[in-house]
Amino acid sequence: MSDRSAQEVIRDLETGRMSWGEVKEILRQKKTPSRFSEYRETLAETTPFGDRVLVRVGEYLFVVVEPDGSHSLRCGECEHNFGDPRINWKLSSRVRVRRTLEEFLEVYLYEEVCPEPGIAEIREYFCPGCFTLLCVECVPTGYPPVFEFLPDLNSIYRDILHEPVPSGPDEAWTFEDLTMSKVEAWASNNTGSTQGAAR
Amino acid sequence: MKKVIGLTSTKLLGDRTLIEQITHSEALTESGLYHGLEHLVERDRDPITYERFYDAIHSVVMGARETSKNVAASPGARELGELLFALLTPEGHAIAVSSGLVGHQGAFRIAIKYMAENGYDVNPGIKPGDIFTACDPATSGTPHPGDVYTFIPLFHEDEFIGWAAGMNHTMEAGGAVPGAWPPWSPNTFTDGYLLPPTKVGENFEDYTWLYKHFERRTRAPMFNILDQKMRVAGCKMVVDSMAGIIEKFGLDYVRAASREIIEETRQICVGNVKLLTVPGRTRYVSFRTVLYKGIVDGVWPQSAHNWLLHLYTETQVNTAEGKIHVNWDKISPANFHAMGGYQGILESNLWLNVMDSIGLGLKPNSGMNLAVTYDMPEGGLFNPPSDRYSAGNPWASSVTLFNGFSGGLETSKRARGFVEESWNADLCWTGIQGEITLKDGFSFGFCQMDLLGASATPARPYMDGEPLATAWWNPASDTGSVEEWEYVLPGIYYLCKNVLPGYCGHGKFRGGLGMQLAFVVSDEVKEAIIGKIGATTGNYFTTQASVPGGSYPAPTSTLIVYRGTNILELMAQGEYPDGLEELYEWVDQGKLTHQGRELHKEEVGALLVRPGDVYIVAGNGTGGWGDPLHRSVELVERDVKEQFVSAETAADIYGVPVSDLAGDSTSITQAAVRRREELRQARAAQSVPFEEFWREERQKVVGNEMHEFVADAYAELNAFSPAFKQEFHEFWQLPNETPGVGNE
Amino acid sequence: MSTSPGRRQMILATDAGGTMTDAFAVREDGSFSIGKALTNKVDGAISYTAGYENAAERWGMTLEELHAQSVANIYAGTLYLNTLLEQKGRDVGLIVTKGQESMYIHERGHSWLGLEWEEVLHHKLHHHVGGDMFRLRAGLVKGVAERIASGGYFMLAEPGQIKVPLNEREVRIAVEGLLDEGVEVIGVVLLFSYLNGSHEARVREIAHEIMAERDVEVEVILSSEIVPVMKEVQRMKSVLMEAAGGPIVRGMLRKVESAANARGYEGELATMASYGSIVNIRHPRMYETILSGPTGGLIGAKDLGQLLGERNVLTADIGGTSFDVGMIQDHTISLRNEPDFAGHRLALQMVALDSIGAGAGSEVHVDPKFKHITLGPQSAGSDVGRCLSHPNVTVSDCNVALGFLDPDNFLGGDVKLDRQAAIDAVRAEIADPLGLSVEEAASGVLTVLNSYLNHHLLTMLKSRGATPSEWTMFMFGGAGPLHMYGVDVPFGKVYTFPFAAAFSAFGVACADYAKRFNQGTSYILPPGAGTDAKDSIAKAMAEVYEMLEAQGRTELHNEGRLVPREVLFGASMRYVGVLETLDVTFSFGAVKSAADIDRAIKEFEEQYTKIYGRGAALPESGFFLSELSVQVVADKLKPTFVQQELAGETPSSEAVKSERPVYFDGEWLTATTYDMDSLQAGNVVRGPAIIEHSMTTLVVPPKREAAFDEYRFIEFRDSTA
Repeated sequence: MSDRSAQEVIRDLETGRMSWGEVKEILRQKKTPSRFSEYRETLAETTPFGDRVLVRVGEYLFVVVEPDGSHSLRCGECEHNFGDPRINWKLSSRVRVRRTLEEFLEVYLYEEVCPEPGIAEIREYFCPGCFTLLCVECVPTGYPPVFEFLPDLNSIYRDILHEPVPSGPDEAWTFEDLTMSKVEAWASNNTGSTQGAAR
Repeated sequence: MKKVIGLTSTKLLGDRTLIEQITHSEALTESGLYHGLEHLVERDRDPITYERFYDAIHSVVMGARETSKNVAASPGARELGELLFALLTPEGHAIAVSSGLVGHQGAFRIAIKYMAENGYDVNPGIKPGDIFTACDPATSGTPHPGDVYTFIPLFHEDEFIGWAAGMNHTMEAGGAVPGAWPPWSPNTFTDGYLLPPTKVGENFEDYTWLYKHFERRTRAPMFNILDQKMRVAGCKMVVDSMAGIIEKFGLDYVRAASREIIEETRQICVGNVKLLTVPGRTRYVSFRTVLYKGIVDGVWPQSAHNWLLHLYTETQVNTAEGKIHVNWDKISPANFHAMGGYQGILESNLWLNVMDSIGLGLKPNSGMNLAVTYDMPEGGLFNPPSDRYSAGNPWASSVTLFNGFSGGLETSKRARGFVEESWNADLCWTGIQGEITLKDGFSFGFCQMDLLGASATPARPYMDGEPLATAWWNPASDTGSVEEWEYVLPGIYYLCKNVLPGYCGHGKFRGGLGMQLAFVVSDEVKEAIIGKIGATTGNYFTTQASVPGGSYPAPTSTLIVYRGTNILELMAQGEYPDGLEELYEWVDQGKLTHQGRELHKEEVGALLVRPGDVYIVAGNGTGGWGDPLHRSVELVERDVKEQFVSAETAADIYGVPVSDLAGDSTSITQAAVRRREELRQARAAQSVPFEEFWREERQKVVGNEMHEFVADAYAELNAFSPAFKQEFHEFWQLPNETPGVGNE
Repeated sequence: MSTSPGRRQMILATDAGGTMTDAFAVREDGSFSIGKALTNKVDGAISYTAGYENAAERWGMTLEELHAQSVANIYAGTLYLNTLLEQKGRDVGLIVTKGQESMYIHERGHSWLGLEWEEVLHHKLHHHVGGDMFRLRAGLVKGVAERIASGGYFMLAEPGQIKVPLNEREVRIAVEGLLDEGVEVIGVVLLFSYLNGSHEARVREIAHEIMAERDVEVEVILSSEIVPVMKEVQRMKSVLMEAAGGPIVRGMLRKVESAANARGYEGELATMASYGSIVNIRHPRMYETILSGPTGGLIGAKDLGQLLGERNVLTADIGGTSFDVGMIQDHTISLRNEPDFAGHRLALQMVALDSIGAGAGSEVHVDPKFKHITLGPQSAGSDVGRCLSHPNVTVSDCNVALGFLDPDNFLGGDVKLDRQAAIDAVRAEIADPLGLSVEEAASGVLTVLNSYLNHHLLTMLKSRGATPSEWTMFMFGGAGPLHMYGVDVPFGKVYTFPFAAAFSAFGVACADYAKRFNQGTSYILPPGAGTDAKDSIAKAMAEVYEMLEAQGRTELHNEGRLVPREVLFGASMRYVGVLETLDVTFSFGAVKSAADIDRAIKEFEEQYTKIYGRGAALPESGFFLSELSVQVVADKLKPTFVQQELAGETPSSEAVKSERPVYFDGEWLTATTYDMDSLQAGNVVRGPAIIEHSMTTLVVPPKREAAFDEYRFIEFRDSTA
């Protein structure tokens, strides 16, 4: 693989274009600190965001640096903006909930290995822009959505990239979970707007 | 005659007693450095000799394992390699471990500390050739009674310098229900034959009473006795070999380098965290149901209850300092069921879960356990309020719990760009166990470890999972052979051991297919009791409610029993079904008749089965990665051709209508584009903005319109976990006095 | 007696590796000539011929003269493996017991075979090789309903009893389906068929009927015939190996045979079985020859051990990319019955060789932070190292830097190495990162390689409960003599040989013609069994032994009218409940009576307690005989070694080449260099010294010496001076 650049190698890997022999070779290679920047260069090519992409937080979700220097979570397929990465993106998605056995059996083959309707529901979270499936949750009714990954952007800049946070609104960025702010907004909005984040 | 020497309270490593030594070492380790080592003096002075020393002690434990496992009786130990040997410091910290059940090295020190705290060095005394065996989770670190530890002290002349340790997973624990993982066990008294650390022999020979106890108090005495012999044989080899190594390297060197090897491992873990992770917070959760109501009520009223376990893991990654902290502040409380456990299960699991990530490229030993800190709340599932709680089957719940921890590491590694090292961490296992009674009344207990020996690998960001390809708890994964298992479990015949088509989480890359095992009870036996347990069991999808890759999680495992079938007649005519699909057809056609069907998604402790009964166990499928609509058309076609998924699945889940077309790839591709667009429109039509969902779901919560089971679980969690209560109330914007949500 | 080579009888032994083919011609008196040629993977006959032309030249003979004088011709190598790895095997169809169709997919969980232990812990490296090598897919694997019972440990059913009669309708559907797929061969693997082969046999009958109807001919291979032993997945793998590769490999060997015959060799060509004997290339179970080349080293070691009266020998074959460690206990080569091969676990008797991925050409990697030196798995191969044309620093660079290797005498001077380049590489890549001097760093690397070696030698001994002092070490392979000073296991004796570089080919020449058979059985002897029980088992065993011996005699007769010299009888025995079997070869021959059963048990228990200790014995649970084995051995001409007049200890002056500075334990010393071929029996070379041969280099540090005995074998020992 020496004839290929690190970016090409990672891209081929992620697009599933590699033989097991090559994968094995990569797995055996010594891990190097340069990987993060190499990966960002790969993402700059493979996502619509170019070098504005900071970090990948999910298969389709990326933290992107906006022109004004702020950070937002965007869909890598359609660039839909989910807003502040510190708010659980699921609150800005569209969701399909499967509650009955019939609905379960549309995505699982045998009822014997399905969850118990009534005590479990399957939530499918879609991108409002392109309806790509972003995440599936199987939880009890009334369970708050799981906030899988809240990255510490300050530390990424300081400890991995060794560069300052871009000037702009996020210069004083704080590492905190802001999910509840959105819920509170809904609670105070009694007109029950169903537009939510689906703009 | 060689003079009898050993430990006395006045002579150990200078003038410390065993407990003083442990306290001393713990105090030094408070510094964050193992044993307070600021410099790896021996390694830096002469790295070459240092590596030679490690090679030497490593070959000792490896050699002990390779030889002694041949003595083992348990298919678990011999066929599946479910055993471990280790060289320990006086405090019980592992310096070098063999291959096998590597996780346990983290738990050995708990038994050593218990012996120290209770003055074993004075009474019964610790002398060369003494044998100590333990299998009581509350006192000895063994995760469950089926994991048995044996220790033999290591002396140089008259100085105590450490321990040889051996462990293996035994066949039968002697609990209230037969097997090694009793899932129906309300408290410690029903877990089985529990030995706190006990001196069970001297001069490398077991006392007769131990074998008599195995005979009287377990259902597989012959296996358990042979396993004890195996552990002793292996430990003796370690003791004997160490003499030569001490001679070669010198006692002082052995002591110093041993400490350094542990600290070095801790340092490498820290370095790996800095190298491999992106800082931040990950949260993953899974659920399990524990159904005791109506099963144990009469005898164990405290357990007359159904529980919904909240297996919630928050992982805090501090890349800058190379620290990882696990926070379990929202986990369910301990209760009178078999799913909880003690510290040993946490220590064992921790090691298993870092091994493949921040544990890469190091000398496996207790240093790894120092690299990760955790909080398990007082009274939490794995930190019970007293030693009366059961630890019958914590491997089932804890493997699930730790998949959440592992999932966090995988997410963080992928974010850092280590795509190749990332997968959808939802490994699982499924155990079958029980007791077979022969026609003459003789009976014996067993564990059937086919689906413990290996799980499917999960999907990765770049490839599908594979059936029976790995097991964290047993790196050299192996399910054993049908022919061997039928020797050990005579009278019960496999109808099939095959992959189950479509039995995985679907995605851009799909999970590894799970397995289906079908058995028939023959008329060669009188009857049998079977139970089924495992990490994938329960009324929820396996191991992770949501997966790192963003696709469908793996289906759960199951046990299906057909009572009083005509299978034996069919077999006599040369017919039997090859798995679920055909079995269902035959039942529909009336070809396979039966007098009743039972379905058990949850764990089962004891079902009586008789000749002519058929039971099917399905398990060990894993979850996918990415949106199924993004899967390459070629892969979907291949899956259909290989009968890994049906044409219906291909069309309805993957949006590739292969069956409609004559295999012309361009037309299939075009058809897929159309079909996938339809499916996307369906997604649009059937989904709502989250806010809308929030308002509807909130009404259910406020109005307590939830399954009683679920409402009880929220009430329990809100009462036990302030952190859960706060999030739950804030998220649903609930006033504290909302009914049904556990206001104290 | 005449000394003209013309009348000498000669053996030709070929080791055709992946890249090079070693052609080894040896006379009765042990004098030999080695030729080398690049392996021609398409037509082995070409590299065969080229190799022996080369060997004949060295003796000033023609290829025809060489062949005319040779009485045995053995061709071993890796062509079986290559054929399968390149997926050039036949199109295989598989018929298995219904319900076991995905054996080839799940491989019972063996997804990690071939990985080093550290890699096994790295779960992302786990991957099933599955059916790729055989191009298997769902459509080519068919299940048929049938069941044979084992009865289990409690003998609930007669072992081999039919539990489900063979479903002939399903057999027909299966065969038709496979023929429709156009398979070239059908393998049949049914559960417990080693206890009762009737179902497999019937499957073949039906298949032949159908083929007759369709007027096609496809070979049908039965596991109960070619590998009748327990454990279905391993049995299936062996059947697949035979089905896919057998006839193709035999075809290639026939090409070599006709090439040899065309040059005047009158006999038939033989090859090596993995269990270490020679078999004619008409041998009916070709998969048994899957590992043929490397076995040679062990056979040679066994014979030399016999010659020297060394019962227990450990062997290390050190090459460029790896070293193979093997074991000979009580003059017997240790065998494995479930060897791993190219990611597959087979049911096959194979000499126990542990291959470790580090050798003289291994790349050196350094982790400066943790001061770790690791070797391989990448290797420079023929590029040697930075001292020649390899981009990365290697062990060879270290040997050159420290003066152990003469840059001007590599491969007899055919290749010139750049010493300065080696020194610079060691400094930049190893010394500076570790904060060591070039000398410290280079010798550090060699110590690491040596400690790998010692680590594995120790593990192998310990896993047999053996004490080093009762063992003799043989080191060979191109780099064996170069590293033998690094062995610090306290062996009784340590030897190497002037022909170390071609030792495997030499060993091939030493092998016997032999047939080995293993038959799975299920004889259970309950505790305190009476004479009647023993008698009935003895009778049954006697029948099996008779049958297998007869088969061996017939095969040997058909393959060159060979007459057996001896027949060995043995069994795989265990205590009931214990899963590990111990393979015992009986001192008294075949079991025929109850008394023989007692003798067999006695010999089993002696060996068992010797390995695992008395505490592990469990006679109270009874005994289980899971396999019977028979070896039928025929004579063959072998190289013999003539004892020579002992010259004085001091080497003659013409043996001395020159001297050069060499770095030994922390200091530069002046070492005398000798020419190995000029050293005579009786000579003793004391360190510091270097003994050079066109194909290898022997390093003798201070306080050590190399003594040439009456056979010119080299004992390496502490200095007697």
